Amino acid sequence: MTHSAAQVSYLDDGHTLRSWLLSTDHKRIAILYIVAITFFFFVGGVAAFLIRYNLISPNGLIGSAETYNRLFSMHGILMVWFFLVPAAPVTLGNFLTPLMLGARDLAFPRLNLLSWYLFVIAGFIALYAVVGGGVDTGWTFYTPLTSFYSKGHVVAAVVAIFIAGFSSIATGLNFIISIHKLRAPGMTWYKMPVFLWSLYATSVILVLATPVLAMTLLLLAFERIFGIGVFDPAIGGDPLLFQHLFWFYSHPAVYVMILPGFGVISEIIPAFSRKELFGYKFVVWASIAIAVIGFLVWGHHMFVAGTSLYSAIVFSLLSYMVAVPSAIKVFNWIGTMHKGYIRFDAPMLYAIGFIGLFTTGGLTGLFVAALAADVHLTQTYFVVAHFHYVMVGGMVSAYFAGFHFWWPKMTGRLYPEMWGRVGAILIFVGFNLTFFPQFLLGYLGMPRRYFAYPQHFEALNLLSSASAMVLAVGYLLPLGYFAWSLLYGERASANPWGATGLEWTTPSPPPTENFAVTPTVTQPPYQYEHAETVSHE
Amino acid sequence: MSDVATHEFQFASAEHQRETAISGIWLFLASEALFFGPIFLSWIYARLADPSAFDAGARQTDLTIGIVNTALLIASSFAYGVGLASIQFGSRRRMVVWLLFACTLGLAFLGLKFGVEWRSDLEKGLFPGANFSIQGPTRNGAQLFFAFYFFSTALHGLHLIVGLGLVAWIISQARQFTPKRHTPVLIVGLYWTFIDIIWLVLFPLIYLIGRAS
Amino acid sequence: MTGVVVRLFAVASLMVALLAAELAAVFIFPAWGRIGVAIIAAAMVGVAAFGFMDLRREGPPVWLLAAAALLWLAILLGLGSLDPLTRTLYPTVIAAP
Ligand code: HEM
Ligand SMILES: [Cu+2]
Repeated sequence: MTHSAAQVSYLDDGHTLRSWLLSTDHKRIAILYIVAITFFFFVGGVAAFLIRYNLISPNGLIGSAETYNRLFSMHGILMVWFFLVPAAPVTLGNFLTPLMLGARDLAFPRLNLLSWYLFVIAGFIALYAVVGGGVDTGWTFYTPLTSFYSKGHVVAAVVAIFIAGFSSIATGLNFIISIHKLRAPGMTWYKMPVFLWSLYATSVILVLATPVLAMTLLLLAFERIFGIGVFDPAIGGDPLLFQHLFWFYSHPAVYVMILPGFGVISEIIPAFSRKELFGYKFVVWASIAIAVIGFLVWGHHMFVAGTSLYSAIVFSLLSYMVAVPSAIKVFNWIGTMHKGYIRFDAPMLYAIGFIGLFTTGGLTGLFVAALAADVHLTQTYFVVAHFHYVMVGGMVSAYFAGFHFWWPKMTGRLYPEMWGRVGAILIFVGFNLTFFPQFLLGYLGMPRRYFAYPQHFEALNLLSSASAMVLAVGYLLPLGYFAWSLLYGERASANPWGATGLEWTTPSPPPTENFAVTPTVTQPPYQYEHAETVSHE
Repeated sequence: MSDVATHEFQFASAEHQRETAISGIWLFLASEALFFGPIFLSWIYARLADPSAFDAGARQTDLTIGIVNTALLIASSFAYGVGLASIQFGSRRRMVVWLLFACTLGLAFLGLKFGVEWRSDLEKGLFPGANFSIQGPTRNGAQLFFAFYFFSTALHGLHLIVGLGLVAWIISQARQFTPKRHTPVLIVGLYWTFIDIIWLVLFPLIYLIGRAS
Repeated sequence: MTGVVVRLFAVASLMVALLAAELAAVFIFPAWGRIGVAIIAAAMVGVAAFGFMDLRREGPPVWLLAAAALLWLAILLGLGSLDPLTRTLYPTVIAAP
């Protein structure tokens, strides 16, 4: 394909602020999202830092349990709704979906821009809620604590999450419809890259679970404002109804966090093993299975809450089923690497780290999904360690992996590879040293969400807090070298990794209309055995 | 305006764009259906807590208004359907008339629901809380019913107001639509009937189940 | 045009008839009971979806979306009510203050 000189890169198509803030180009919106998401990640990170700081000493260094409650609520709310849930879809997904489809944009570009504004408005309301006054309910907003007893800006926090939810729905809707309707000629469902399948599964959850959360939060706000409602036990209402509804959304939401990560890893492993993805159909159907089965397990968050024993047993069994498709994927990635020609560039280091961390998180998920074991482990640091392994170890590693992999495409620049590798290793080591001790602490019985703890837990907490500093350095490092790369990085070619996929056939950075000529797809993805080997410039 | 359908640059043709928009609204409606899910589940929970007291609350509602309102919404979907058919057969003027009629029926629903029914409910002290007027053993269950009632009808009413706004927008843009280009008319119509469908579920939950045996 | 209007009118009439049937199930034939009301209400929803929204005329992707909505609602309401339906309630004694 030849590129006429008339094609303007999307980065050069207008330099005014207006040309960014009113752009409907999915690539520009992705950049807008990256700015917003990164900001919330660091604000949430500051809260995390303060939590670990407090836990250095058994008596709590912050000195006030109230402040501590507000800190972990702030951390949870910002990280879940303003980083983990949206991050990968709205940044990588927005940038890549049309490129991978061979399309010029998403189906509804204006809706896409609207979703960014909703997100930013929601973000500022959330910041107002958690900083100017705070919320002390945790990210889970359980009733009746939240409706009747908690102090602070509960309604503002709820409104923020409600609005952010509609931003998610808009994004998910756009992806599903684009994938149905905008595939390039020849791109059948089974010729689609796995990233798009993952995004499709993610979007199904976003579109069908988020509205449930939205309405639940309205019911909660109603109860808090009028002092009475359907969750109010005083009139025979059921607080467990709130938990059911909340987890109907929030369990699938954990798969919203991880599924795009699965997609990223499935792109990277073949590219850096120079091999076709092993068991493509298993990988894609595993994503769909996760999206569906993920809706059948929410009761495992409520084993000790007073639900019926019968339903607890059903939910426990179903929870075991959801681990099967995740395990299938892990085996497929390892099968892809087997006998491959493996290159250890930063994206691949992150991807390999991801496999280990996600597997640890997933397997400990099975510990807590076992009804009997969970009675001991629930509400302890074991659960905290479990979900940080999947969300931070898993999702954030995959996000960073994808960011490094597609950075040249997004910016037209290469990042310094050596620093990328150092960052990946720092994050892997720092992460394990921070969170593995928490498995031990939880197993030994340290409860979560308390600002003080018995003396004999001090050593492990100290280790966790100290290692968190390593992790923090690991997360800050990319901020530095990515900024450097924007200014001084080497220019990237169209396909610096020698990867397959339509996004690599267009220049880096891509022109506004993505493809000069709409591409026609003839091959299945990941034909690495037949692709020319990478040139090491 | 000419009757040549145009399309945005990510689509291959105007037909492609139309199909995409229609799939989009259906997916949005699927999402909306789940949005009402918690309301339905909370009805189940609230009723299970004490069925006879809950039903006693439900029997305090105004069945006549409920029936009239249901009929109004059915008629408004019919009116909208005729409006849509009118533009498809080329009569823009007739479309506007039928859409205005659909709006009027929607407004009548709102007037009856909030102007008449809610007002009398509030006067009778049926809003849950300390001043709730039903005493005795059914008090709690009836309060639970009315918490559900006020919440769900308010939410449905808000959707209807949004729907009215959309229909008004279609009317104001009427000049643009032709037999070949009227996707927005179709899309708003789908949303309009969807609001009816929600009501068709709420109506028995509010007015009928508590009176049935 | 007339054909369409006649069809829409038939749909609306059918729905009004079903509304009347709902009321009959409550007041005239109590034996139909709540189940009868629920079945008729479901029928009304179906008539509206196929009659007014022309669900039949849309292609398979749209059917898939509509079916997904129903399936997911069924999951929410089904698994969601499993717990209250099978719960053992122990009598509580509220001590007098
Ligand atoms: C292999 C599949 C998984 C299973 C079987 C599983 C199981 C569980 C169980 C049973 C709990 C409740 C523990 C308790 O509160 O006592 C739990 C908590 C949690 N899991 Fe998982 N999990 C899995 C994967 C994931 C993934 C992939 C994520 C996120 C990306 C995740 C995020 C969470 C979160 C956030 C919580 C804690 C919520 C809270 O109470 O604040 N899990 N998990
Ligand atoms: Cu879960």
